[in-house]
This record gives sequence, C-alpha cells and structure tokens, in this order.
Amino acid sequence: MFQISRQKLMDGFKRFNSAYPFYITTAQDENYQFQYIPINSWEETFFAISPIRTAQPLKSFFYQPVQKVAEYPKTNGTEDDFQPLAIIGPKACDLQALKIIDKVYAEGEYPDTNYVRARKNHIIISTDCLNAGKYCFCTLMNYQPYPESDFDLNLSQIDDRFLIEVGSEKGQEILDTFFKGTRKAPDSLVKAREKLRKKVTEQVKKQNENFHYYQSHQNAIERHLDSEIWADLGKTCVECGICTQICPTCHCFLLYDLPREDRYERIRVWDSCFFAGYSRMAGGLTPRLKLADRFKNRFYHKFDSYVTNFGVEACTGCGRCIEGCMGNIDLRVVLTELEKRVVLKENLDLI
Amino acid sequence: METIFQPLETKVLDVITETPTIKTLVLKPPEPIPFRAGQFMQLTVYGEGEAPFTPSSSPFETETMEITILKAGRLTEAVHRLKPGDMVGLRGPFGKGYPLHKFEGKELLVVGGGVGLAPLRALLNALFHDLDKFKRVSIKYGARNPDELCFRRQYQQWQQLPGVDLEVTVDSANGNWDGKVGLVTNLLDDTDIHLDNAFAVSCGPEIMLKFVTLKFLSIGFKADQIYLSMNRKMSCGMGICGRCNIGPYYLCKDGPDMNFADIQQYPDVFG
Repeated sequence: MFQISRQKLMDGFKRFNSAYPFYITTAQDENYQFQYIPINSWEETFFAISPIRTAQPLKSFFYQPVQKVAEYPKTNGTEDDFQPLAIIGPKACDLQALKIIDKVYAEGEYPDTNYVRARKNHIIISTDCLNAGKYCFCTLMNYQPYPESDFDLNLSQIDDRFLIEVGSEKGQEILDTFFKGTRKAPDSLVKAREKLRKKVTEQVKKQNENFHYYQSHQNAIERHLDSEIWADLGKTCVECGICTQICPTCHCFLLYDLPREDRYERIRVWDSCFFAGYSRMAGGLTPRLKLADRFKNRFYHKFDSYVTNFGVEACTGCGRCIEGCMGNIDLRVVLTELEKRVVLKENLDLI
Repeated sequence: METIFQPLETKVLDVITETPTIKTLVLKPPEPIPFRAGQFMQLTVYGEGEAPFTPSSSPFETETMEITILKAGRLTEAVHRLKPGDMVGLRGPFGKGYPLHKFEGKELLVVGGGVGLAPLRALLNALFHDLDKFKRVSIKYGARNPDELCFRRQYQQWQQLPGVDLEVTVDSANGNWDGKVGLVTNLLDDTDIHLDNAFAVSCGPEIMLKFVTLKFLSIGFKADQIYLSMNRKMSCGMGICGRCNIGPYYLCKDGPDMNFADIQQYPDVFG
C-alpha cells in the first residue's frame, strides 16, 4: 500500500498519459461518464474521482457495442487498430462484472480473441465509491462498494492524499515507471480508508434494508418457470432493451456481414434478449414470442442458468437497469416478489 | 488478428436440386473438416451472413462435405442462387453430435420430417458405415407431398442394407404417389421396435418434433431414450452469443441433438 500527494499523482498521470490513452471518469453532472484523453493531452482539470459507477458499463472497453470481428475473403496483414488503454475510475461492481463475463468470453472452450487481448492489455486503475448511488445495491449481491481485487492499481482519496493499492504485477510496473514520489502508506491512512469504506458500505446497506432475500434466487426462479407472475412483474416493460445494454454482465450479441469495396466485413453488435427478433428463425418460428417469456428469460439467465453453468449470479448490484428502466421495473422488487411467493407457498404447504 | 468468427473460404463443387425447395451444396473445404454426426457448421453466404446447418454427408467422407438446405428465408434464398465454382464460408464444426457409442447394440428408430432428413442423413451414413455395431435401424420419414421428399434417389439403396428398414409417408398425395398418406406420427403406431433396447431419434420442424415426441412417449419410450434435434436461432455457434438456450443448455454447444430427459422440464422446449 502506497501513498502519494495530489501533485505527484498528477505528475504521474501526465507521464503515464505519454504512453497510454486514457478513459477517465468525469464528474461534471449527475451521470458520470468516461472521458477520452488521447496520448499526451493530460490536464490536471481532467482528474476527478466519480462518486459512483459511470452510466456506461466497463464491458464496453473490452467488448465493444459494434465491432468488426472478421473479414473475408482473407487478406494478408489485415489492419488492426487495437490500442491498449488505461481506464481510470471504474468501480468494484464493474470489475466483478468483468470477471463474470470472463466465464463466457475468456474461460470457455472458445476464448474470444478480441476480448482476451483487451483483458490482457488494458490497464485498470479503479477507485472506491465515495457514496451510495440512488440505485446501488452491491451489498445485496454480496459485493462491496470498493475494489478488493481484479484491478492493476486502486486509488482511494483521503482528504488531500491518495492511497494506492497494487493489484497486479503490471500495476506495480506502472507505478514504478510513471509515478514518482510514492511512499509506503502509514497505518493511519489505511485505517482512514477502512473507515470511509465502511461508511459507504453502510449507506448502501441502509438504502436496501427493505429487500431481504431468504433463499437463493435460483430456487425462487426455478419455482416460477411456468408461472403467470412474469407477465405481472414485467407488465410495464416497453422492450427498449436498455437494461441489457447498460448491464455490466449482459453479453449477448448478433453477427452480421456487410459488403465493403473488395471484401466483406463481419460485425458483432450487442443484442438484447428483450427484442422479439432476438430468437426469430427463418420460417417465422419465434421462441419466447411473448414478452413475459423474454422477461422471465433475463432473470432466468442471470440468476438461474448462470449459476448452473458458472457457479455465480450474473449481477453485481450496480443498479443501472433500475436507473435506466422507462417502465420503473426494479430488479430488487422482482426478486423480492418471487421470493415472497415461494415463502408464502411453503408456509401454505406447511398448513 | 484471426478471430473465432473468421470463416474458412470454401468452394462450391456442385449444387444438387433435391426438391423444388431443397438443394444440396457439395463443398470442397481447403482442408478436411472432421465432424461427428449431428454436429453442425456455420455457413457463410458472402455478404449475406451466416446460418447454422448440419452436414448431410457422411462424417467418414472427408474430402467433400454436403449440406442440404431448404429455401426458407433471405439467407437460404441466397444459398439457392449459388452455382458450382462460387465461394462460401465455413466455421465449425460445433455442438456435441449424437452419442453413437450409446447407440451401439441398440435398435434405433430414426424419424424425420421434411428437410429434417438432411441432418439425419449424416447420422444414417455414420450408422451405415458400422452397421454390425447396431442392432437395427428403422427409418420413418414424412414430407408434405411427394415432390418434397428429400434424397428420394437413395431410399432403395438404404432399404437393401441389412438391418435397415424404411417407411415413407406424405401428408397429401398427388398424381403418381402410391405410397402411404398421412402424418409421420402414424407410422409410429405399429412399430415393432423393442422398446427395452432402443433409442428414438428425430429431426424435423418444431411442430412435428413436438408431436413425434408425444408419440414416442405414448408408445412407451422413456424420455432418456429420445434424442431430438432442437432448433433455435444461433449466431456464434459456441455458446456465447446467448440466444439458443433451452433452460441452462445452449443448443449450439450442448446440442443441437438433445436428450429429451434433459430439456423436458422447460416450458419453452417446443417454442
């Protein structure tokens, strides 16, 4: 654990920016975004730790919304504009979400070369959350509002000093190469960080105290596979698909081919299981034609089949889907309602 | 950078017209593509995109690969415009394929509908290659009308193989048809298959699969004796694009031929 002064941190970022373009969180308004900073254009005024996660999920740097993934007929030495990035300011919920996507894109039988390369080469400098966002519920999913692993460096601000935690060899190398004037952090500073972290954790817990999960979501969903409840819970859904686009763990895509001058390009675009065309086949058969079935499928995938296949739920409590929903659908309410009915039924069975 | 989405450029050697709506592409991949019966390929029509098809040729034939395709939409219409000498793309093979080792020593009831006989032909060719390993292969096939019967030129040859029998029916007859008329499920009513030592396999349109499965169950097959070739929209072929799931299974990765016992509990199993 190291400490660094604000000025030395700024100097470090300037040097670091001579080697890497940045995406850094901005905090100008209520919706925190990543701002692009090309190589050698660092200004101190860019630096701001966003209080909570950005609106844009971290996945978009590793698995882009629209991306060319192949071209044919094959040409020799196809152009490749991959550029390692430094992403500064993502929060714990997004780091954990990447780990969840890793199961599909990096750790399966067919690792996705683009994703794996981005995971290997992008630098992540994460930061602690400074308060609980209105829709945050990471604690409900057993995560915390501060990163404990899966970053290269993590930055915590305590008054005018910064605490740097090294999370990888690459992180140590970057710290050594670009950030001069670090000192070993005194215990008092580490303790101060603990205090801040505890405060934010309590805030998140407090605002979610009305949601109690008595048992696994998987069990609650398994009991409702054939239920009418989904039509009720999803009745205000307008099928816009925003919950899936901004979800840090949603990873469905569609491939399509485009003609170019002398060849064809294969494009991968984010897709959404809420769209009827998502599973429409030639001949017209559309599994999950009813919106209620698609609504169910999203929860089934996140909290049931993902657990079966990978041993983890595909949700880290970032709250983006709640914030973005035009139909005011709250994932916490859906899960709570499912559980309530299971508990109610179990009690009735007992009688 | 070479990605998992890069198609292998492959020449169309020949195009065989099977029926007014079904054609077989004979392909010559630049290198042999070994596959197991039931595994499928992602076929690229240049500029149109990809769709999944199971080869209809024998897994033991490695120099060329045949894929038999019904004209059903934008991409397959483009397939039907292909001519010998054209190039297409291939990715794969994907999926698990049929568990042939489990079928050894068993009687097999193979039920096809329409172009569903195409993927089954890869299985049949694999079975025919080692016929002594299987107790019996009983094929039941139905199509809408006589003109839509796929691979008609091969029926006689199949029937002459030892331990192989074939029955064909059409939903509605026309002019020269003196065979059976009725749904393929009718052919299952008086099957003399020995249920205690048999597997049932089916491929066809979803609605047919549903009723064939109900028939299998009603004549005494247990769910785990039934293998169904399930179809969902597939984009990646590798279990990562998300859309082809039935329950926790991705048909592209875990299927497309699924044991009915694994999927019967899911309400959307038949669409």
